[in-house]
Amino acid sequence: MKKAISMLVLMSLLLGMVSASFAQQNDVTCESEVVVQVNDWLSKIADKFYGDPLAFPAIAAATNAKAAADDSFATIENVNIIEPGWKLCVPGAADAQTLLDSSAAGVLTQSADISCDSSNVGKKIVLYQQAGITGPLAAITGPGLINGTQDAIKAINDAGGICGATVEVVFNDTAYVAEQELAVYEVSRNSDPRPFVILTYGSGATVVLKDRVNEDKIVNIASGLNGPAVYNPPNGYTILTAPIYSDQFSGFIKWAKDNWASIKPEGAGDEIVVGVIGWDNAFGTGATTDEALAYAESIGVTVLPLEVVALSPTADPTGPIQNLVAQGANVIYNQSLAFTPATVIATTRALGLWDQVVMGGVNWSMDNSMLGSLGENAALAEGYYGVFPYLYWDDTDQPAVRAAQAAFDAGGYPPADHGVGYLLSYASVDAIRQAAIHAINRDGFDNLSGETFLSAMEDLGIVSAGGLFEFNVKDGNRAPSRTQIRQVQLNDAGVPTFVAVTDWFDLPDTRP
Amino acid sequence: MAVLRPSGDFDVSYRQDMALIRYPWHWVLILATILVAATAPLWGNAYVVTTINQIAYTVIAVQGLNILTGYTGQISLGQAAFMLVGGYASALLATYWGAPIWLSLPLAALITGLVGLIFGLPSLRVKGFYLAMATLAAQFIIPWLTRHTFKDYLGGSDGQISVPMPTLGPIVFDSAEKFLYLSLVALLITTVIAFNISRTRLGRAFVAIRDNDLAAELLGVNLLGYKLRAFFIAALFAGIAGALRAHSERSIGTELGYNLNESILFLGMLIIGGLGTNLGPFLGGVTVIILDDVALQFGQFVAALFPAYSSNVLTSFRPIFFGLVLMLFLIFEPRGLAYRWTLIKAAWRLRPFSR
Amino acid sequence: MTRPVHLSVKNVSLSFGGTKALHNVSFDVYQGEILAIIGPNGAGKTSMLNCMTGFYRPDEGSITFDGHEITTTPPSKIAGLGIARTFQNIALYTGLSTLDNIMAARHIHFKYGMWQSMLYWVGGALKEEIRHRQRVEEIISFLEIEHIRKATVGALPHGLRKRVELGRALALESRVLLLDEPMTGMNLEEKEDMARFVLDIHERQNMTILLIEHDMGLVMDIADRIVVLDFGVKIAEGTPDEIKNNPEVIRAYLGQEHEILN
Ligand SMILES: Nc1ncnc2c1ncn2[C@@H]1O[C@H](COP(=O)(O)OP(=O)(O)OP(=O)(O)O)[C@@H](O)[C@H]1O
Ligand SMILES: [Mg+2]
Repeated sequence: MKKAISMLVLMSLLLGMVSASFAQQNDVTCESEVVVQVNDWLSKIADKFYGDPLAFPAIAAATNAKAAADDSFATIENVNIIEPGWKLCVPGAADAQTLLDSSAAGVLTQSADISCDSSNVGKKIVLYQQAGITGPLAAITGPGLINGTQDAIKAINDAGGICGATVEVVFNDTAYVAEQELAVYEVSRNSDPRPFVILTYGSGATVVLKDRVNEDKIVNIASGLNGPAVYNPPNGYTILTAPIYSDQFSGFIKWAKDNWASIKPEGAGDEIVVGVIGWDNAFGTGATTDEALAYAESIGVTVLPLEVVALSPTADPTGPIQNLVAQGANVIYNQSLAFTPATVIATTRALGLWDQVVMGGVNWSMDNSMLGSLGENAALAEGYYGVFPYLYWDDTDQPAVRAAQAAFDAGGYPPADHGVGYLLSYASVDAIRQAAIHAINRDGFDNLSGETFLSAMEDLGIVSAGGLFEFNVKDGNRAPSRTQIRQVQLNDAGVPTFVAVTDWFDLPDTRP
Repeated sequence: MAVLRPSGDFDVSYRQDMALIRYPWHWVLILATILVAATAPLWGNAYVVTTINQIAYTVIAVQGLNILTGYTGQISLGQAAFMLVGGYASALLATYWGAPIWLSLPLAALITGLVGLIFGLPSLRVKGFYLAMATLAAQFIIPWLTRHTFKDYLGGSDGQISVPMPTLGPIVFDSAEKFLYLSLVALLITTVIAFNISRTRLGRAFVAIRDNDLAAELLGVNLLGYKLRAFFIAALFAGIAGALRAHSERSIGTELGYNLNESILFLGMLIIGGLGTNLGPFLGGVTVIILDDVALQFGQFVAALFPAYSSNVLTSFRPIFFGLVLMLFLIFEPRGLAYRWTLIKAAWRLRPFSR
Repeated sequence: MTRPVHLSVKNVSLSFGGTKALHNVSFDVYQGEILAIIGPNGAGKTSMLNCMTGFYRPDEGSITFDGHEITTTPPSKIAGLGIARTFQNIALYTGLSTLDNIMAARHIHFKYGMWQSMLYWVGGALKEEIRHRQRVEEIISFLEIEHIRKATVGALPHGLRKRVELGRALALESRVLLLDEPMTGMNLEEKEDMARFVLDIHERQNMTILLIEHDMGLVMDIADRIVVLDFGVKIAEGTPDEIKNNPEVIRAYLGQEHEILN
C-alpha cells in the first residue's frame, strides 16, 4: 500500500506534460471503461491491460480526451492521484501505442531494427574498451563492464555480426589512473585500422581524452559524466551514457520541488533546503556547478555548500550529515557511489535523522554496489531516491533486459556484478551496432570511421541503447537529458528493488 | 674494496679525476640508453612510447625528491603537489601569454621552486617525522587551493583545466612520439644538473646536513639556507616534471591525480632505486613503472588460470603483487638498486680476482 | 707570557637543569701555543668547546676571540671567524668519501653559488673546484690518507676516521684548532701518528691548538700549558711540570695517580 501511494504520489511531475500533450486527442476509442477501485493506480491498470505498467500515460491521455467531450469520464490532473469511483478510458493496444509514441515524455526509444544494405562477411569491427579492473575503484565497477560488453558482442556475432562483419573488443586496464588511460589510448588510436569508437568509464578518461578524441576523430562513449569536458568545445567526439551530473542534480531538485507536498519529511516546512555530500574530486563536485546552483536559485530551492567526504569505504560522513541538518537541510543528495551513499544512509539512520530528510542521489549512487556495500543491511536503503536515466534488471518486459539477464545467467557471474555496469555495457553495444549499421549503409563499410560514425549518430539523433536508455546526439547534445526518479523499495520478499516513482521527464539544461 | 678502480689506472689531472664519464664503457652505456629511449617510436608501440615518456618525467620528479630527501635528508611528502604547481604554471603561461615551451617550462619550474621554498620553511624547526607532516601540508593545501581559488583559471570543481600543446617555433608537440623528445631532453638536462649538484659545493653541503647537521653548521654551512635551497631545487624539478606531464596529458588538475599516493610512490621509487645516488631515481622510476605493468600482465595471466575467481584475481592481484614486491625490495635490497649496481661494478672490475 | 691572547674565556658558567657543567671558568689561549684541557669524565671539557663554538650559550661569562665577543655567535659563523673543531665522537659525513669530506670543509672558501653548481662548466664552479682540490690534496698527503681518498668514510676504521676529521678541520684554514679527544680509541702507533700530525701542524703553521685528551703521557709531552677541570671548576692551570705536581690535580685524579705521574 505504502509502495503504491508513494509511487503514485510521486508521479505528479508528469501532470503538466502528460495532460498537455494529450489534451487535444479526441478521436480516441475506449476498448474498455474502468471504474477505479480502492488500491488501484494507473500503472497497475496499464499492467493489467497491456502487460506494461509504463504504458499508463496512454490511459490518462485517453481518459482526459474523453472527459473533454463526456464528463462522465474523470479528468486526471495528476496521474498520481486517482480516486475510487472515477471512470477511466482504456484505449486498445494499438491506440495506446500511438498515444505513447506521440508523447514527448513517453517511454524510451526502442532499438531500430535497421537492416544492412551490404554484407561484409569476413571483415572485422574492433571496439576498444578501457576501464579499471584493478585499482581502488575496481571493486565498485568490477568486471561487469567487460563482461557486459563481451556478452553483448557475442550475441551480436551469433546473430550475424554487424552487417556480416565480426565484432571484437580489445580491453585494457587503466586502474582509472589518468596516465594509464592516456597510455592505453595511445595504443588504441595507433591501431590499424584506426578505431572509430572507444568505450571509457572514468571521469579522468573523459577529461584527458576529450581533446585527443576530437583531434583523432574517434568517438568516445564515456561513462565519466563530466559536463565541462564534453561541452567545451561543443560538438566534440565524447558522448555520454547518462545525463551530465549538473543536469541530474537540477532534475532531482526540480522533481523534489514539484512533489514537495507529498515527499516532504514530516514536520518539514515549505522551503526546500538541499545539502549535497560528494567526494572530493570532479565527480563529487560535479553536481553543484554554477549553472546548477543558478537553476536551483531560479526555482527557489536553497542549496547548502557542498560537504565533502573522502573517497574511502572508511570515511565517516557523520560530520557532514550533522552539519547539513543543523543548517536546515531537508533534502540530502549524494554525489558519490557505492560505499559512500551506503555509509551516508546507515549513518543518517543511526543518527535518527532519516525521517527528517529526503535522501537521494546521482544515478551511480543508486546501484547494486550501494546495496552491496550495505550487505545484510541493504534494507536500510528503503526510501532512497535516485536519478535513474535507464531501465534496470527488474524491467523484464523490456526484451533487452531479458537478453542481458539470460547472458548474465549464462556467464555465471557473481551477484555483485548484477549491477548497472553490466547492463549499461550490454546495452551500449547495441547502440553502437545501430549507429555503425547506419554509417555503413550510408558511407560504405570501408569508410566506417569515427567521423562517419559520429555523423551517423547525429543523423539518428536519439540512438537507443537496446531500449534500456538512449544516447542523445541531437542538436549538439552529447548526453541524454531525460530520466526517471526511482526509489529503493522492498519487494514482497523484503528484497530492495529500484521502483520508478516518476515517468521519464526532461532534465533542466545546465550545460556549461 | 675501497678504491674501485682497475689497478694501473691513474688520472693525470684533477679535472679528469672529477669527470663524470671516465671510461669508454660509461659512454657506451649512456649512449646506448639514450639511443634505446630516443628510438622508441621506431621499435616500440604507442604504449611503449607513452610509458617511456611517463618514466622520463617521473624520473625528473624523483631526481628532485632525491636532492631533498636522498642528499639533504629532509623527507618530503609533497612532491606530487609541487608537480601540480608546475603543471598549472606552465599551462597558464602558455594559455594566457602564449608562451612557448622553452619559456613556460623554465618559468613554471622557477615558480614551483619558490612555492617549494615556502613549504621548506618548517625544516628549520622540525626534522624527520614532523617535517614529513609539515610537507604533507603542501599535499593538502596546494590541491585545495587549485580547487577552491581562482576557479576561472584553475578549473574550480572540475578539478582540471585544458593545457595547450607545447610549441617550439614551428614544431607542435602534438603526438606522444614528438613529446617523447621534449621529455628526454628535459631529463637529460635535469640529469646533468643533478650530477653537477652532487659533485660540487652544493651537493656536499646537502650531504653534510644529512649526515651531521651539527658538524655541517660548524663548518660554515648555513642550515636553513641550504635546506631551503634543497627544497627549492626539489620543487624546481617537480615543476619541470609537472609541466611536462600537464602538457603531455593536455590537462592539469587534481582530477588527474597529483595526490598523496603519488607523493608516497615517488618516495618508494627513490628508496627502491637508492637514496642519495644519481642512478637511484632512474632505477627506481623504471623499476616501479615497469613492475606495475608486469603486475597487470601477470594478474591477467593468473586470472586466466583460475576462471572461477577471475574477477577477484583481476581486481586484487595488481595492488597485492605490487605491494608485495615493494616489501621484498625493502627487506632484501634496503640500500636500493643503485647499491646493487655498485657491487656488480666492483665485482666486474676486480675480475678475475673477485671470488 | 708575552704572546698575544687569542681566545679568552672569562667567568663562564653553564648548567643543565640541576647539573653545573661549568662554574665560573676563566682561562686564556695564547697565540701559537698548544693548550690542553684535561679532567675526569664529565668534568665539562666538551661543554667548554661547545660554548666556544656557539652550540651552548653560557649562562654567565663571556668568550672572546681576538678581542671580539663570540659568546652568542651561532655555530655557522664560527668557521668564518677562523675557528675549526673536531668532535669527541667523530662527526664526519659518513656518506661522503674522504676527499669530499675534506672538500666539504672548504665550503666557506668557495665563492660560487647554487646556479654555478648546477651549471658547473660555465660560471666558474669547475675552476674553483680544481683550485680547492689542489689544496685538499695537500692535506690528504700531509695526513697520509691518499689510499682512502675515494673511500666512503662510513666504512673506514676508527683511527682513519679520526684522521679524516682532523683533515676536515685543517681544510677550514682556521687560526685556532679545537681538538676534542683526537686520540681516544686508537692504538699506540696511531696515537703516535696523530701526535706527530698535531705537532707538525703546530710547528709548520704556527697554529694555536686547544686539545682535550685523556692520555696524560701524551698531553704532558705535547702541551705547552694545561688547564684542569673538575666538576665544572677550573682547579689548576700551568705548564705540564706544574700540573704534575699540583696537589689539587692529584686529588682530583685520586686513584688515577699513577697515570698522571707516569
Ligand atoms: N646537552 C646536555 N644536556 C644535559 N647535560 C649535559 C649536556 N651536555 C653535557 N651535559 C653534562 O654536563 C657535564 C659535563 O659534560 P661534558 O661532556 O662537558 O664532559 P667531558 O668533560 O667532556 O667528559 P668526557 O671526558 O666524558 O668527554 C656532564 O655531567 C654531562 O652529563
Ligand atoms: Mg667530552
